[in-house]
Amino acid sequence: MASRVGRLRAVYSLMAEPPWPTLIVITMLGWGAMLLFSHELALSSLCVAATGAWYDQGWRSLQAMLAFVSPAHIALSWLLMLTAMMTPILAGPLYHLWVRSLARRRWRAIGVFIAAYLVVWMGMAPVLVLFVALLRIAATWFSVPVGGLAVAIALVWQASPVKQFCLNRCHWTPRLGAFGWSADADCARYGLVNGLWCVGTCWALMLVPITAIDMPMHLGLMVIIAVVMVIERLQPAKPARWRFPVGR
Amino acid sequence: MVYVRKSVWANGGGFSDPILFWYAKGVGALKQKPLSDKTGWRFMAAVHGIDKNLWQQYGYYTPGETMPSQADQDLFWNQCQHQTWYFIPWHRGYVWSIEGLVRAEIVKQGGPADWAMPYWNYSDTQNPQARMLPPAFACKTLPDNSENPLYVAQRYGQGTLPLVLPAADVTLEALLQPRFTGTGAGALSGFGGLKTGFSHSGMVSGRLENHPHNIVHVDVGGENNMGPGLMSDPDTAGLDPIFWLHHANIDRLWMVWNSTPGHLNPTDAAWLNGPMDRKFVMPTVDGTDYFYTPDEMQDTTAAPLNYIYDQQQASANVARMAAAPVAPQAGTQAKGMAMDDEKPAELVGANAAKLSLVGVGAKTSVKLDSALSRKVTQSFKSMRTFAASSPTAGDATPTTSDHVLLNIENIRAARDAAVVDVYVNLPDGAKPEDRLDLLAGTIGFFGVRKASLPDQPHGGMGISEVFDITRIVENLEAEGTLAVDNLSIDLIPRKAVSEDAGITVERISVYRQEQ
Repeated sequence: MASRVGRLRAVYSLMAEPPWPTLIVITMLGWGAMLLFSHELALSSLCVAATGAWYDQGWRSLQAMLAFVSPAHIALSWLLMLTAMMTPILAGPLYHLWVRSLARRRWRAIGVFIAAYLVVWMGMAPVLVLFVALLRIAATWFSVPVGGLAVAIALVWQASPVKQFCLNRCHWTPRLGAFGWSADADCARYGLVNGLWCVGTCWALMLVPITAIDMPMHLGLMVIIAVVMVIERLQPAKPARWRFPVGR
Repeated sequence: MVYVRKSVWANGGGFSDPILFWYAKGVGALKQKPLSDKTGWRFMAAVHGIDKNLWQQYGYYTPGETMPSQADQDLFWNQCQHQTWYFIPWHRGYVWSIEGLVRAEIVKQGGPADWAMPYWNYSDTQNPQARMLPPAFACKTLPDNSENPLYVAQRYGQGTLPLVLPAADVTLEALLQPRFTGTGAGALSGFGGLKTGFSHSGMVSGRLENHPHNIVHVDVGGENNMGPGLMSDPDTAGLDPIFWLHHANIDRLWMVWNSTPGHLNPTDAAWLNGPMDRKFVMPTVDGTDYFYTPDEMQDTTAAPLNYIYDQQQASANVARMAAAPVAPQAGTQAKGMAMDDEKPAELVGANAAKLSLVGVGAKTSVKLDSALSRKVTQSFKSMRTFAASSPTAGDATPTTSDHVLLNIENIRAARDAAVVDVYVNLPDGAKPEDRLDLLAGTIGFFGVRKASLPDQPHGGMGISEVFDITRIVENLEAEGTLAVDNLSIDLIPRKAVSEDAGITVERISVYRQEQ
């Protein structure tokens, strides 16, 4: 049986394979930027928006907050969050794009893929924020902590066959045309489809940090969720059935 | 004690050989055990893979029968390691495990205590019978007219008896691979396979796994109207007693490959320690679970393996002779030594759309990037110029041409059992069997069905194959019939393929690997 030291050395060896070193640098930069600029980039404001304050304090309160926090800032904060959290789970797709494209088209293929992938997640951002706001209202009505509600939803989704169904399809690697617009179209389609399965896989987990208003707690939960997502993504596909939600 | 594994043909391949007689007795005893018994025949077959529907169809599973605990199923079953560099070491532990279980049953019945698993050396060109299914597996009864536990009805082969493997399917070019591990995507997959990341599931078989391993599986199993033979599908293969002799031979070929100077196993910690996503574990005779790593599989003479093959060196010589006719290739490493500085392969071109294989064949055109294609042909010309100018260049550094690799990407199927030959630039109307000079390679559809299911470890990505077509392309270029911007590829199944076999190929591409 492999010793603990042996397994650690194995992990190190695997992490040294491309594209991991590059992705680790990018994701660390993402986390660093979030730590440094979180206040300026209105991460917390985003979360305040998700607190449902507009429900308690009226429409004008929400308007005032949106005037204070520009959509561009919110978008940028989401972009940083996606960079930090999603870069490692895209190792498979990015490797596929790299090795299956003509050498001179590799960066273009990755650019098109990421653009399409981001379209899906950026579109998902307001939906998630609104969902958490509604969750907070529901929590108030039922007098339960909103964080607990979010964790409960995440655990149920994690245990469900639907979650495994989505996660399995994140492994999909399509054909990529070699030349011309068909190559671009294939990369765009790949980004969109992968983004959709990624949202299906991760949305419930993402609720948990969004409900946390306290910034250290918010970031801490994001780190935990990010680790869970990477570990899940590195597992091979499995039959979609109800499973124990932790350590799946 | 060190056990000696002997050839199935050492004493004629029938029941006059006590090794085979006692193998039948041992297998018969293991088959009596329930599915829930970790030391039973069916449990061990499920360690390789189980599909309850297929098992039920063939009478190996009855709905409602007692199953092992879910924990045992999760720990032991569906472990088989394919399309990965763990293929060879995992199967070494697997064969060792059942060898011990069979031996224990043999000893219980008064058989020899030194019994060891025989191997089926179908590549032995000095034995005219080598490629035939040994008689002990083909007859329905034992000498006392009782049922022969080694007989399996679902060995359909080519549809004719006796079952004989085609000579071209058991050649040993794999032994010429200088490296255990392939370079990576697009390039050849090495003797043992590709480094497969955190998950044990990859897509490309190593060369030994592809040929002869996969093809022999399908050549024995075949299919008929009822479905695939047991050996054709990894979820039923372990149920067939010939499976273990096939894998003992694959295991022996690893040893033969190792016996060549410079042929080294990986020293990478990721190989030595096994995959991250599951442990290798086997049942043992004393009821304990044996957890193991590839590192522990390297020396068969050490405990707990404790075995060797008979005439190991003689086998190595025969194997090299069998592989020799195809040895020289334009891009082959001059010294045949493992090189650590191989450059990654790069894409040169691809076909335009997903391909379906139905009927007697499918043809597609691979469009090539002209500039990259010219680089390849230029490397051929440089090599010819060098060869012409330096007839005695033994001590000079030889110029090597680019390798040209044909990638058959994401092959999927609804069922296993097809054998498909792949040709390059086969002229219209030409008989494939007359143009073996254009044969790139052969794909044995073993495990493709399972790899095509989205909820199985391969995630529905199917399998991919990589063939070295350097020599073919070089010859076409030399005779002036190579187009710089196009290669034509034919996929020709040995038997016509029906639509419900669902065979598709996501992309066919050409890569070059600069030397």
